[in-house]
Amino acid sequence: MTKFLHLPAEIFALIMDQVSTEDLLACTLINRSFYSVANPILWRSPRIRTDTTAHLFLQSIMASSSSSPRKQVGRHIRHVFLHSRYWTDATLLQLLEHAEGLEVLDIYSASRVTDESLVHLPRHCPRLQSLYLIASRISQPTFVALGQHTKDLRRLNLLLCNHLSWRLFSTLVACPLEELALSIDKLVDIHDDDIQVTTKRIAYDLIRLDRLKDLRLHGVSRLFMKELSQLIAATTENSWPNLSKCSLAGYSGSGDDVGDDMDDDNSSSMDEHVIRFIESHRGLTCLHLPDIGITDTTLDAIGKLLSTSLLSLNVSYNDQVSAITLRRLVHQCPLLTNVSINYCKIDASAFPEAGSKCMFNARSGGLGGLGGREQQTSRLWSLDQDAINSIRNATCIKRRPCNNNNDDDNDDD
Amino acid sequence: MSNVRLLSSDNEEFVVQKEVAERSVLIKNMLEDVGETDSAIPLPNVTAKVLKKVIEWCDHHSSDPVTTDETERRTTDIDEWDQKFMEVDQETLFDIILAANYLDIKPLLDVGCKTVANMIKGKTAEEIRKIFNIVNDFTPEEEAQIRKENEWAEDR
Repeated sequence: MTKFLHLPAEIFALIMDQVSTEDLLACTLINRSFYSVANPILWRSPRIRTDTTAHLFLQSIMASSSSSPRKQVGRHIRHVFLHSRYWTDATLLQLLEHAEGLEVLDIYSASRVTDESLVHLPRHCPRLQSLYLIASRISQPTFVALGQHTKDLRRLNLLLCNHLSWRLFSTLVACPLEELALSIDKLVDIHDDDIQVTTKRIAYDLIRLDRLKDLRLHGVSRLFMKELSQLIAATTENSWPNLSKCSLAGYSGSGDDVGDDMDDDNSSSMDEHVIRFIESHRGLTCLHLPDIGITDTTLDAIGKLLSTSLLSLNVSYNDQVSAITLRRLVHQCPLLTNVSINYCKIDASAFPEAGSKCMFNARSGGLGGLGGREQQTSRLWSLDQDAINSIRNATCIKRRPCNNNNDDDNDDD
Repeated sequence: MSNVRLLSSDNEEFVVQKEVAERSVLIKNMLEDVGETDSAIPLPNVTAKVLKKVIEWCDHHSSDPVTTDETERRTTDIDEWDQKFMEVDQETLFDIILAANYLDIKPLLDVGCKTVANMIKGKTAEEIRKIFNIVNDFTPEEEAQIRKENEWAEDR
């Protein structure tokens, strides 16, 4: 007779993969067999959200660290998410020392974490693949260590980290980086004698990270876009051949504005640079250009250049894009499912197809497809799948049958 | 449509449409290796009782698209037919899971594991022990030790 406990460990683990943390916790207490399967899974992806939890968590790791390797709970950790101010250099270092299998380190509020602990990361956690350190004080010494020792680092998120240097990319060129997010304006010292040379260097180093699939840059200036697009156009090889998602945001997200362009050459426009960039990346599925200062010229180019790939577009905070061009773009890009147009000065009346879910501050009733007066003063923040379908169907209804769009009416309340 | 003959561990023969039998990656690979054959394929790890159930499942799902996306397969809920199909005694349930594993029928293995997982969800350790007839082999000290070790996971 087959009993639960006769199942091979790998099937046991498949079952445990399907249950919640609470269930896993119960399973560790059933008997020894259950404990040996459930406990490693419980410890595999801990999400630590409060100071109390963080303290208990670290205490357990330390308490088990002197037992036999099989019982050391820290060894099970693969993906840790830390969200509390408990994590300082001292506590983080204790954790890293006992988490040799760590693949993903995700610290959401990392303001108390500096190079003092992070520089040891590659030594303690050589299998690290993803590093998300929002608002940490990480700087060059850690990147040097990462570049030398973490041969598997694929994902790096450094948004709101203000201690980065322009040398960052050249130290990371040995890592197979596929995802990168950071504020580019923090790399340039405004008091630098030759901003243009530094900017050119940043663009040059960035292009050398040739495995990037997902690039998110904040604080993108016109000068940077100019240097980047010129370099890309001049490169004979395809720069970033795998790039599929790209976000180039004008705002830096760190409180201060990017400020006026450091570029004296006012004859070139952001449109020109962005279009040149897109021309070299025809496979983009996701293009986000919030607050970057583009106009209809870029929208027109997107509609032509990315018509066979684009799924998601964000042109929020660009007040010179118009509803007419946007409507044309929706028709040009048949795969498009979502457009963000927050603060674009596009009146809701320009898109009567958009339901209340697409509207900023929508009040119940009156704002739907057949709505009343109010919609003329509402702002649209997006065109969702339903709205986009309605826009497409409105003019090509004869060519193919309508998609089922009943949702539009039902979702309006 | 050609047929395939399958032989259970207790020597019962089943004649199945090739397309149905090929839901099993093990059988599919075997057929590719041997080519056209008249002899029955022996399945020494599966009894007739379980093989009958497995064939019933494969027959119902013979035209399903093959989902290669692991996460999608793992996160979708069990459909109504499969739920009914899995309403069997525990022994049969575990035997089906073992057979699905041996025959390499991933979607059936998933359904089986999800069914067991559903029996565990929301229960205490004692309730789970009762359901599966499991003896607690921990000493009270060990149990207290584990509770302490995992106290962080209770806080949510």
